[in-house]
Amino acid sequence: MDFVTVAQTVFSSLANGALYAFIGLGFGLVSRSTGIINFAQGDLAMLGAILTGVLARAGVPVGVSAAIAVVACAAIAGAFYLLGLRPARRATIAQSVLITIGFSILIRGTVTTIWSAEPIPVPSFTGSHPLNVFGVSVLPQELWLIATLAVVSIATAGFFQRTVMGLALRAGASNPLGAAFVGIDARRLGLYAFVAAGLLGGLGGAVWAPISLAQVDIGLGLGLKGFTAAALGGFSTTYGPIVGGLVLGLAEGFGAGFISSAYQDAITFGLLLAVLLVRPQGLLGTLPRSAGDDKPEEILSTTVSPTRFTRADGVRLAVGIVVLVILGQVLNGVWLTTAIFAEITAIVVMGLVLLTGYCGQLSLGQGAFMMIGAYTSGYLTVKQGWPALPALALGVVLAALTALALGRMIFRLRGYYLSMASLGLLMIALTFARELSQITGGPNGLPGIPPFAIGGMSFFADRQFYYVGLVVSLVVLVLGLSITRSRFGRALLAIRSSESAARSCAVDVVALKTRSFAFSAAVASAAGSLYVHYLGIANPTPFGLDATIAQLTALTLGGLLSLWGAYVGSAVVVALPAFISWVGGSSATQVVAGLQYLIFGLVLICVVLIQTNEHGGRFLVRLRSLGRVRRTAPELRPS
Amino acid sequence: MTAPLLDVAGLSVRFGGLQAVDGVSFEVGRNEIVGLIGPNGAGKTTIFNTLCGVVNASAGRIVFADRDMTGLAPELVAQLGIARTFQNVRLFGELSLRENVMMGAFRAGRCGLFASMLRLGVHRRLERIAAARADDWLQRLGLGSYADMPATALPFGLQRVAEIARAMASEPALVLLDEPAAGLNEVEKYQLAHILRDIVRETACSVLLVEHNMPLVMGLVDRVVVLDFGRKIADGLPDEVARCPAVVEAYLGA
Repeated sequence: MDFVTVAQTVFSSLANGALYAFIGLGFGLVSRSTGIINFAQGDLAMLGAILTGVLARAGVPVGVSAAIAVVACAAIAGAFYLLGLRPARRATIAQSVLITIGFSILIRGTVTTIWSAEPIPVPSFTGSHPLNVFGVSVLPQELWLIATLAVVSIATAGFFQRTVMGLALRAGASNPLGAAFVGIDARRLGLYAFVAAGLLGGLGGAVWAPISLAQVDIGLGLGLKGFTAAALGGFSTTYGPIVGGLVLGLAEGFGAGFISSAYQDAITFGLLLAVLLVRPQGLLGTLPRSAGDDKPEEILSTTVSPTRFTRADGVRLAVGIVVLVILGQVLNGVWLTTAIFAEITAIVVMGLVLLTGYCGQLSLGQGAFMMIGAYTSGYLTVKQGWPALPALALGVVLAALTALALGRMIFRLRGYYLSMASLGLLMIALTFARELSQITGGPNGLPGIPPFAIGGMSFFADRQFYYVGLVVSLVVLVLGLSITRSRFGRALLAIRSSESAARSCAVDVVALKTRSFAFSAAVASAAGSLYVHYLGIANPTPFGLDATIAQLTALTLGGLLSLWGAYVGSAVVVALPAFISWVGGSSATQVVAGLQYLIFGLVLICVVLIQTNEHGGRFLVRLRSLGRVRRTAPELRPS
Repeated sequence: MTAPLLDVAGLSVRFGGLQAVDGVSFEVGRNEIVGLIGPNGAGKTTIFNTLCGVVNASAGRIVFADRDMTGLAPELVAQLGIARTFQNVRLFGELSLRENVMMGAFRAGRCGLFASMLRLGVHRRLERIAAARADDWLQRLGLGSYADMPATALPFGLQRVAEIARAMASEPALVLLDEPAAGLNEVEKYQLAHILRDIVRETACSVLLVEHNMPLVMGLVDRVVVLDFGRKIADGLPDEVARCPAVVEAYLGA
């Protein structure tokens, strides 16, 4: 590499890094003042880019378009906080994150439905001809982006260090109750933080859009990059996300130059995993010193979950089996196929009930474990001539071992680290599935996988496969019920209520979470194996983020602690797209995709809201008594 | 004379620039109630948290039943047979009262995901032990009729007793109580003292009590350790200690 190439790579990387820094700053701001991770951060940047593009296309000058877009993003983020997060007062971290994931999908669905997923070209602010600086080609828009970041970072630093409001935001993050006692309204701070995060995201997106194209699909990817930037540099630091963004941009630029651009995602998320494992506080951050969890734990539940088998379990099991067996006889054609996919999804969701519901750990990467099962089954049955069952079993073992190794490292850290690490794992798995084509067949997939067979019995027809899926899902259901109705399940519920009290009862929290993670990984792997045996081909597409979104929606719909709910939630989630296209006809596939996201997003937000609002349990009662006198609890407010 | 059950030697804890505990040594004998008292900021809670494994000591040793347990994590401390209660009661909200107390018996044996999932014999045996101990302690402490209620639906005073039942269900050699009288009314305090005395009389258990409430401590304990500004200033029988000039000065101010 000569000097000009290096300089060119550095400059282009810094421009990309600047965008990541914008999104990372938004992550950091929200996390510092509310303690939660806003998954919609990347989608806010996407929205900024799209709105700028749409307005500019309509003839509005591009500078004005960008300004309007930025203000709109800030307003939307603020409105989301008021309507979505603020009422969910009893939400755990996992539930808050679910709400922001709902917000993310909602933005994506709305944009797709209104403007379709087509890329929108956006004119540059000042000229689109590259300047030549010592042989390095520089787009004026890249200079705009970097300059805006410089201004914003100085302003942010000044805000946090020099203003009372900045101090208040930091205080609210470190101790909401204490801050409330000195007159800081933590919930108003949350609003400001979200508005500022919308501003930052929208600004980054709007200024960056002319360099690339405004497109709905970039949202999730940008969110991940921005999160990586914030994690790299340190969430709780002022400059961390900026440094992290620039480092990430350089790592990607040089990784693409030296290794291969195909592995760019693997490099990014490998970096993220490495940071989470080695230096979870980020490059510039410091770990909090307090050793115990002294925050008051507020799960005030009036219903207790059963921890031994009850008569109701037996009745449900008997009725459920009868209904599911009959369904297999009644359903036909596309609905039978839908039911099979629902069974497979339900298996994954049952693992999530244990991991997310019982352990409070949100995994966004079950697709990675599905891929382990899918490709183990595919490779061994097609290339090595293995029978289906041993291949499935090996996949299950591999997935469980992967989860055990990862869990042992990740669960020492509290909070949302598993969400990020599992997402990183998914991205790495997707990259390898696409690139290691001699094993996986690359993006085209690994065809010719035989139908599922046990001994000499081959289950070829849809109806036969429905019963294979039913048996496997029932086995997982019974194992899941058995776990939750045991001392293991009781210990998980104990951890959910109070981790410190559970530890004082000699419960090894890390070990229990790790094993639950391994269980969820094992069943996801089994589901992945079934999936490819049914389709006859293994490719990466069905295991990506769309699958994650569907699983989380199904989990939330069915109820976080309900194994039977997994069937219901999965059935709805899988049937919804089929239903929309059945109603709308096959012509409007874009609208189907958009509407599907829109509905998933709304469902996620609404269901979690109903579960976590203090009036949630009496939600229906309140609906009926709408219009009568509303009583609200007194609130802590500065006078 | 056998070795004491708990032997704390030269314990120091430092938080950044603050020396919270400075070279404190004391012992808890077998089947003995010891009170750990002192004015606010004396380091009582820090010592308590260090014993539980929540805070790490910067110097000194903690020996429990001839085993060095300095720096062990909370779950390992519990595994050794040291149970604790919380100042701001922490019962498991999603479990019934009986199941809360059953959690105390968690340390009775090892039984992982597989054994639980497949209902192996060890799981059945441990569940039987846990249920038996839970019913026993709920009866003894007069909570039997609330067994199937959600634990957090009980009134505060009973929740405190329930925490003691949970601690006792682990059949501990030592129970650490963190300000058990905080938030209780006079009647409840009297009942609490009664319960603690019965426990020490009827089991082989020792109790270490961190407490503000002087009348309760002085009427209950066999021995009292007094702290002030992170140092031990007295250690002895309640009567002797109450007359000790350093203690009077620490409490009344000079």
